[in-house]
Amino acid sequence: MTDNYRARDDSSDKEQLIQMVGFKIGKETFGVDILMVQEIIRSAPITYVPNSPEFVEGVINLRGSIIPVIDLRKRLNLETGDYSQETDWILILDINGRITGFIVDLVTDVIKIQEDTIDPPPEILVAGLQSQYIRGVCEVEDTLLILLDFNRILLVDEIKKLKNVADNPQKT
Amino acid sequence: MIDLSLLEDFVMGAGESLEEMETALLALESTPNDNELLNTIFRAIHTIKGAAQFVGLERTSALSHALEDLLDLLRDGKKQATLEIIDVLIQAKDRINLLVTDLERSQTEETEVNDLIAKLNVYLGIETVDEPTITDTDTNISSFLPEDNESEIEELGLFLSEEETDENISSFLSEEETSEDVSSFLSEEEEAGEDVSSFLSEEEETDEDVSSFLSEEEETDEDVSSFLPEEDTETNLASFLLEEIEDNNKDSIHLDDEFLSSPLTETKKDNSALILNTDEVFILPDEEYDQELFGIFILQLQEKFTVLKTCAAQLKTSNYKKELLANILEALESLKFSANYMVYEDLTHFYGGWINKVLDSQEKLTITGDISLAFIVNYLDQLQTIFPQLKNIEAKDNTIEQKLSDALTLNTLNVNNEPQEDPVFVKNLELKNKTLNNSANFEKKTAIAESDLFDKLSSALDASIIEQSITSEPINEVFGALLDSTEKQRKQPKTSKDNKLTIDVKTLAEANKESPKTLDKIEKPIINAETIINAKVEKIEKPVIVNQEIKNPKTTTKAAPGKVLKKSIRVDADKIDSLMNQVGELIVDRAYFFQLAIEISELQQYLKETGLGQKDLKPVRTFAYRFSEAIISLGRTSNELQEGVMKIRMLPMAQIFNRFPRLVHDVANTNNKKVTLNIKGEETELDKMIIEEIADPLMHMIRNAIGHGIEIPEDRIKLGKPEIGSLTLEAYNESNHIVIEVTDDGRGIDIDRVKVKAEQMELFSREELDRMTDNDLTRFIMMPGFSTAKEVSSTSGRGVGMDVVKKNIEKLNGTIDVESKKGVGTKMRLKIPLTLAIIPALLVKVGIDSFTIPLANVEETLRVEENEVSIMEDTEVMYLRGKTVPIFRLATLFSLKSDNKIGSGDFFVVIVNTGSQKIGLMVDSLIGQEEVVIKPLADYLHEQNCFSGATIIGDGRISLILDIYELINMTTDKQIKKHRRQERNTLENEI
Repeated sequence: MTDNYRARDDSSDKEQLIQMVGFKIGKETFGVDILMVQEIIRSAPITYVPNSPEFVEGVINLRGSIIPVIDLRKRLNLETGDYSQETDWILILDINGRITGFIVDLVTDVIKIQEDTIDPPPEILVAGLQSQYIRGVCEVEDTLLILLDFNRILLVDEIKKLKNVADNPQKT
Repeated sequence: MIDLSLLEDFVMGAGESLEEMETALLALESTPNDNELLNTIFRAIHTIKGAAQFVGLERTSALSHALEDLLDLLRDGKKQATLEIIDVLIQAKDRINLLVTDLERSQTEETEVNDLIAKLNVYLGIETVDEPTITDTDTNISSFLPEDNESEIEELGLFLSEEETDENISSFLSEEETSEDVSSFLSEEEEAGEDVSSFLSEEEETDEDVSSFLSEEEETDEDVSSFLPEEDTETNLASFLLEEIEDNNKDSIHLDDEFLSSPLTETKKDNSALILNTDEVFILPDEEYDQELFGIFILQLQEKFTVLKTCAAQLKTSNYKKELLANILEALESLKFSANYMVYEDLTHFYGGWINKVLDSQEKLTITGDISLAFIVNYLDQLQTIFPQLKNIEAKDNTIEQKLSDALTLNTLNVNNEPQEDPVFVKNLELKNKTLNNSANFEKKTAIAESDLFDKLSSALDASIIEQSITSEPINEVFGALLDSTEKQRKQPKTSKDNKLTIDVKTLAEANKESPKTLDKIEKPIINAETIINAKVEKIEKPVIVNQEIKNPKTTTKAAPGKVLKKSIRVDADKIDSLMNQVGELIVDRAYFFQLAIEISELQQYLKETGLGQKDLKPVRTFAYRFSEAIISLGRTSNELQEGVMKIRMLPMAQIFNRFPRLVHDVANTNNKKVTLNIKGEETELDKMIIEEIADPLMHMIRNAIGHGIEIPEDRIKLGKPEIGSLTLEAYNESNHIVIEVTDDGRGIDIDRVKVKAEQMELFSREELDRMTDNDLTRFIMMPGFSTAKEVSSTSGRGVGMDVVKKNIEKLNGTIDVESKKGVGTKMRLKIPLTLAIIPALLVKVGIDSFTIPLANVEETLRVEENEVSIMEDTEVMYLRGKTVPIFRLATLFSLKSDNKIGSGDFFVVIVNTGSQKIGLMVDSLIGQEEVVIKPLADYLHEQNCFSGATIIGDGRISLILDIYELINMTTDKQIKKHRRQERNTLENEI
């Protein structure tokens, strides 16, 4: 699945400069294609949705649309460390028409990389992250930029959600 | 050939027409002689036919045409609408429906129709036997003919065009003759027509007669100008007819010179003359071509032909041969293309050959600098033979070049001459015939006159898709008007009545001249009469349309009786949805303003407390007052806007109710049951989206009612019930809801069997079941897989139906109730909100979160003392008017922090229901009632959760909307599970 996505992307913009929005969770730097980013907002009041998967932080009101917000840290099972900042960043991404917000620690800047410098995800865990969520990795200025596959992230969360509900039917 | 771009419209339109037709057909069963119903059916089928022809659907149009014929017989009372016939009509309707489905799926007509057409023809055939004058029944297109037309000339003039068989023609001509042999008839005719003068004076006496003749002429003329391939022969026929009449009138009529200049006459003459030479015409496919397409085709042909002629003429002398050839090539290419589009294969081939030659000569030109032009002339001649109408000039001249120059000069001359011509009057019938022989001069004139007329007629042709009811009078008037306008163009100051007569006479005289030549041709065309009939049937619609082209209000009003333009537009549903969304936003904004108003008054209060004097407060107070006024005004407007937009989406229940008579009819038949369907309140309006959603559930319910509820007639009689079961569909409004009831007087739900089944399925223990009320028990029928049917039939019995019904209804925030009495009947009651997008709701607060409960589900709100709640089977319950109601704490269900501590005084309980079940929800406080706009939640938040959506409340925060149905399910599931667990435990303990 991951390969499919990459293959498609590769063929469309081979040898091309692509722009990524860089963001941080903990110490790791991640990247997402700038074209997917609808906007970046600073903390908005999040309404908690009871009985939702754990990583769903809730929903926000973005100019009249109700958008689910996912805590990417929880979603990717990253270590929770110093995550208690008052000012979260919310990346609003358009993932195949599904507008979803992702809470990240910090949005850094726009990183320009060559499409062909992207390597496939390594077999081993990167930053404690399962490779299935990784579209590829890329070295930028001595740091490893992890390109996330958000399609996959949303896809799995459905599965996970179902599992979640099945395992754990409405706690009493 | 099917025009794909139009197909979508056709499918949609046909669907509507078919629905309309079905309703009427079913109604017809009970009142077979209702003319209004027949008219409705006729209209529907006619609309379909028109559209089908326009799009180019042969089968559909053929079938609908045959249907029209049959309906016409019914309408004229020549045939009784027996059940048998109605059945055939229904079958045919289904067949068209199938065709439409075919088209939707594969863009082609796959379903066969010939068997049905044959069937229909049987009925038509029986009918025509009684009418000796109409013998043509070989083709499925037969009798549009009103009974009385044989004897009435004016009507004949009208109907001839669609109805001709040789017999009809002869009867028209001789008024009584029915000779099969045309030539013999001709001679007879000549004999019979000795008293032509009387015939003619008859015409003079009654304008109508004349104009009807006129319309006949006109029609023929139109035929000519529309150049339908089949009509080559028809033209022969028509002109022959004229000549025939003329023959009879020969001696008594003398014509003035001016008469000959009439475009009509000229056209007629030209064409009839030309046709004599068209022995080698290409055989073009004689399918029923779409008139409009053909009109366009011919227009283009004419245009290009002129171009070609001009180019060919110049080619000989011009120095720019290359450019001219390129022009010719271009014209040919587009001609070829249009011929190809019309599927005239021969013609396309012909053009192809021509193009090749032109290409060849183009090459030659570049090499040798000179080319032979003969082939172009040849081709042009050939083209003229195929489309004789192109030949405006006598073909006696040898070269086109000559013709052209001749025509040009003469045309100019004639145009100049015209204004000087003497006015012509009706009474001038005793005029000299001498000019008949010097027609050469005037023939040239047709180049202009004909094209004028041609334009008119082709534009009329264009408009011909619109159906019109046909009566002889309007048509006559229309033609009168048409002639009038033609005449006016030629600047001849005549009155319309005069025109009718003069032109008529002119035409007659002119045709007369040609008659000897056409006489021997007559037999051949008549053999082709069948083909002509096809083409002619369409003609009947055409003339009436002319009135739209001509600004003659009188004819317009007369020609379109009862056909009021429907003031409706088709709008993309998305547009309405987006409008609806905007209105939704406005409602949210309004709520925000309300919130602000409250804040202002709070501010006012605050300022007061801080010690501001009355004087200082005054501006604030004034502002607050004005602000609240503005909000009230805003509220009013936005309410109206909201209502207005909602109304756009509202459709009467009739939309779906009307589908059901057929369903009932079918299901009852297959189950051998007798059922009458009563429909009430079909005018009740409901959101279109909801209408679509409830169609399926309702269908299930009706199937169930007939399949399971209503007994077979024998049983009913035994039970002392009326033999025919009754099924009632009723819709009515109840505040913001619509209630739909499906009531049958069948056997009802067998509670005992439900119990047995429930026990079998291990849903509950016997004791529990015994304790349950009948209402609780009947609700089981809506559980998935629950069926009391002993065996599975084709329509029902798998226990899926009611489950689906319930799901669908609850998806709409609706509720379903079942009331049933064994042996007496069942009543299903659906309660559905009028709209889905904006709902009134109750806002409640739990901890810091607010939740929205659709008001539809809210039964009441209570303030409950702690001691009123007791615990029963691990669930908190309270007694409400003698009934126990389980109570759930929302805070506990959602794992939220609650301000309410268990065991601390009183709290709020909202009693909610889903029609059948009732629970209490314990909340911290009630915020109030508000109109909320439902916004969807992401699917992974929505599914398997008890929220149907979310809404944005006044302060911009989000409030989740509770899905009460899911919530209750969740709680009962929990109960059942808990129960099972307990049972298992006790069982284990016992062991």
